[in-house]
Amino acid sequence: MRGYPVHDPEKCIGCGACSNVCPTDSIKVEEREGKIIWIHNVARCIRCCYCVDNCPTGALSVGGEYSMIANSLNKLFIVHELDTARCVSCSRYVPYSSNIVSHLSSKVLKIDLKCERCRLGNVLKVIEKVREL
Amino acid sequence: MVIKVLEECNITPSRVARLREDTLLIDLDKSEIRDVVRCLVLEKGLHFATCVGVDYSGLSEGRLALIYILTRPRTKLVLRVLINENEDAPRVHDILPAAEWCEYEAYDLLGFKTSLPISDRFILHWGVPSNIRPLRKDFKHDVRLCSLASCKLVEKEGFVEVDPHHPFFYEHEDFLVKVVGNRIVDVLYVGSYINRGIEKVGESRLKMEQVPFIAERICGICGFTHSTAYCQAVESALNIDVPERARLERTLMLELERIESHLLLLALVAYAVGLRDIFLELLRYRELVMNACDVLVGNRKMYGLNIIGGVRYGFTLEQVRTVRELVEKLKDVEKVLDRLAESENVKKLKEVGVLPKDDAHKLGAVGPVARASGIDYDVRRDLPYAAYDMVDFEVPVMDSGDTYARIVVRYEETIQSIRIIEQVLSRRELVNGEIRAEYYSNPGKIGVGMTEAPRGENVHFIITGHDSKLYRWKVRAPTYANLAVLKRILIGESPKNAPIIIASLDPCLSCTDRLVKVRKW
Repeated sequence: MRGYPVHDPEKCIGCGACSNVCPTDSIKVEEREGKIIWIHNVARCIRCCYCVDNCPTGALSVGGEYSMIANSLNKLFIVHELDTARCVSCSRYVPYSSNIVSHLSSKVLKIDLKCERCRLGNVLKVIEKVREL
Repeated sequence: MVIKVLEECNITPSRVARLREDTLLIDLDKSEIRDVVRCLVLEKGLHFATCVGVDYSGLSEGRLALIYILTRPRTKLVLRVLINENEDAPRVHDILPAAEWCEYEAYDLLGFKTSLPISDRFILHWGVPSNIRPLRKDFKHDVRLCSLASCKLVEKEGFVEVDPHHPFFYEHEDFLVKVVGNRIVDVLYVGSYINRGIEKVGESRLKMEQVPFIAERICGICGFTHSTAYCQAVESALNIDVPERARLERTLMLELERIESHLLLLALVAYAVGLRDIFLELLRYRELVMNACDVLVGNRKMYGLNIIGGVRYGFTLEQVRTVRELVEKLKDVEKVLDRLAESENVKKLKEVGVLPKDDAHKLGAVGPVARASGIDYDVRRDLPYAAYDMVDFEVPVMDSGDTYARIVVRYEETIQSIRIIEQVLSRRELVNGEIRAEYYSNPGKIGVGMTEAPRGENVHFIITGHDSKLYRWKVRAPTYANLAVLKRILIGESPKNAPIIIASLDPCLSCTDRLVKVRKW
């Protein structure tokens, strides 16, 4: 029996591919104050498991539980919080999960992640210098 | 061949555009459509599938269109009538009763200008204001109809039924049967209680690749045939060649679904005529089919297998072996079905609810209902899709057109389905090869997908739009066409036979009304 998808927050990079392909909008990936929140509304889920096919890191898998019984509506939501990475220069939050940073730096290259303000700040400094010249 | 038939109906070959090998598009003038439909359907004997209203304002031409879909072996004809906003709508239902429902539906949901003496609403509730036309492109998909304008509940004369509907039917429908003495004199079907506009959702909120999963939920029993028909429509529009393995997998699942649906109906017929042992035995055999589906895709129903361009999973040799064992056990169902067909209780249904061949053609009956009346039309053989051109099977046809014939046709189809499944399971391509083809989306392409659902011909019509979305999606479920024959087969019968006659059409009302609701949360 194909159940609702099981989410592994250790592997999840918060890319939101699952919420984009979900036919019934049962998965949402939101960004709030330093956290990326993965919400799954099991009551809306139709168990097509198309999200599992499209997950790039294998964080989602087909579960064995088909039904979910709860005594209140809020318990039908599966909510996982993912930590976001911090900017290396100003230690503000950037809108990427820390998993994606470690995932990428282990596989591809070492990245120095900077927040938008720091990157923009650098660009502005360069522009000012150019102007002065 | 087709060109010759068209020429005899005053359509020169230069006006015919070929969309795909088997799909022809013809643009017609409003004044011609009646003559053309009369000539093609009533004289040349083409099958009338359905008609679709389209609001073309989003795709360059700012006009409305009514599209008629006709079929003959190996050919689908798409007749398009483009009209201006203030012109009277084209109309053929006075010469061809089969077009009645689909034309009224198009008038209601798209707001064609008509001069008909009918009430304005057919699908929607009559209290909804007349400026609300949900399938127009300027209408948003996520609004409540009655929050827009003041919905006045028009006071209308009618009956209130206090007692429950007949216990034989479990769905949201109402068959009002007028009786004089011991004879039915009139029948009224009241439906569309649960039309939630799945087509609108498919056109506005969903991406093209998400729709198969929603299309599968149109019906609880024959859902896979809907997603297959939808995928075939898109594949035909975008010219995608589906790999052989995917086509075989689709055929396998479609036939398992047909057996499952037919066994459910035959079991219910046995229950209705008082043969409870056969009812239980048939449901036990149905369980084998459900288990086979569970082994193959992980679900007993709602397989979630189809995707545009192929299927999601490739079956393995191990799965196929298990299914072969289950199908071997399933073969014994023939003995039980023999007992059902030969029992006195079912033989009593001969000469009950007769549908003559002429009327079946005019009213547009499809599937086992048409085949029981002598119309030799099966989409699997005449417009081959999936892998049906690779397997060998017979199409059972009976001439008497009564309730007994409709039951026996289903019984013989079940046996043929087991034959098809055995052939598919023995093919080596089922477990080797590609399962999916790549595709690119193009706006403005027309596609018609047809499958033979357990209840009859199932039509999905699509026009692709921008951003890999659909521009128009129309679903014509088989029961939608078959309910038109209700009046013909019920009038003159005894009211005690009414439930079994209606049940012999195998009505599936959730297909007809298309209940699926997707709302933001």
